[in-house]
Amino acid sequence: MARSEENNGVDCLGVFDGQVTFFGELQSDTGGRLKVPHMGWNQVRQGMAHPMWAGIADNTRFYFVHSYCVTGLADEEVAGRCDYGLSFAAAATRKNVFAVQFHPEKSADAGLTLLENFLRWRP
Amino acid sequence: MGLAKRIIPCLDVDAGRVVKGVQFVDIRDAGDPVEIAKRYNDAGADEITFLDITASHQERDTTLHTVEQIASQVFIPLTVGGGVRTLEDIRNLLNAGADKVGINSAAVHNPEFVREAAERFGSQCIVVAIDAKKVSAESETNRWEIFTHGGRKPTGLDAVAWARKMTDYGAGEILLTSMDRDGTKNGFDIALTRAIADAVPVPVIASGGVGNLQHLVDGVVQGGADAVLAASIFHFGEYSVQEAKQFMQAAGVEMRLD
Repeated sequence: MARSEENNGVDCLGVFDGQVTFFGELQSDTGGRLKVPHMGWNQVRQGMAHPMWAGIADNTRFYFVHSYCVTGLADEEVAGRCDYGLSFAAAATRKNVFAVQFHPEKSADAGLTLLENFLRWRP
Repeated sequence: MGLAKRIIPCLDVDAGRVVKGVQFVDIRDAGDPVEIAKRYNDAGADEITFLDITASHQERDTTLHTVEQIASQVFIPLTVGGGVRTLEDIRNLLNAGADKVGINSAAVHNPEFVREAAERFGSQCIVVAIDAKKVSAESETNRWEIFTHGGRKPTGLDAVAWARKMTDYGAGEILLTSMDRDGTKNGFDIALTRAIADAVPVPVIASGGVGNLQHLVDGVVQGGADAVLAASIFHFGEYSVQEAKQFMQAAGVEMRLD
């Protein structure tokens, strides 16, 4: 991303032109306060067909643990979205880059499938 | 649809073997931690917690080795607690493959340790474990105190205020155990769980007292917990993790079933 609010604000590598922003106080659909960090298994809505999603159903759950999220990406760079008080980019892609907010290495079979897809992907 | 509630089987490990105490007495052996963790991973557990109850310095290497073995075969988050006292302990556990580290007595002795740990490694991997016991009389307003040394030593710290302080210091999650309920199979202390869950901005794991699947539902629905931890009901095959998930989903709790 271009910039992050982490550590009182830092410039980043800028592979993507998005921002990393703190979740802050989030409300659930029913008006309750959502816990931060966003911790646990949430669903990823696939925003596009992509070799990295091969064998992974839309809305599959992955393991998340984070207090900051990515905003401000161009639509064509958002490979997947997740909802937690707001909709944020759970997967971003451009050319030969594919980045995820969740932890594939901790996301059981779905995560291992994603990692296998990465090894097979020939962008 | 959204974030699912988590089921976390807990492995109490003594000198490399999984045990579970009934109120910390009468310990039974339930086997090899690596095998059990793998079994839970395959059964659809959402996380695994590993509590090292030996925590003597001589056994540290055994623990790190076990954590390495688990992390190489288990692809769900692993929290390790027990005897975590220094930043070095945390670094060693994270390097061995733990995703989160639980801090208990060391936080009571030195709250600043939690702040240093969160600043160094990030709040997402710092879990503060709280052992609380009810100290108010039946006629009084509920009050719980923090106890250390397996529930034997009172600290004078109010549990709700303590939980809030720990999250102010950077704890990313609270593992809350009711010492009154632990090992009883009478269900979570719901009032305690609700009091802590409402007081802190971070996720709360309810622990202590699970005897049946309705207890898991109650912890989430009435207690407001984000995750539920249990040991013996799973270790001794009374219920499978899948049965627990199906039961909770049928009761209206969002779960990961895929």
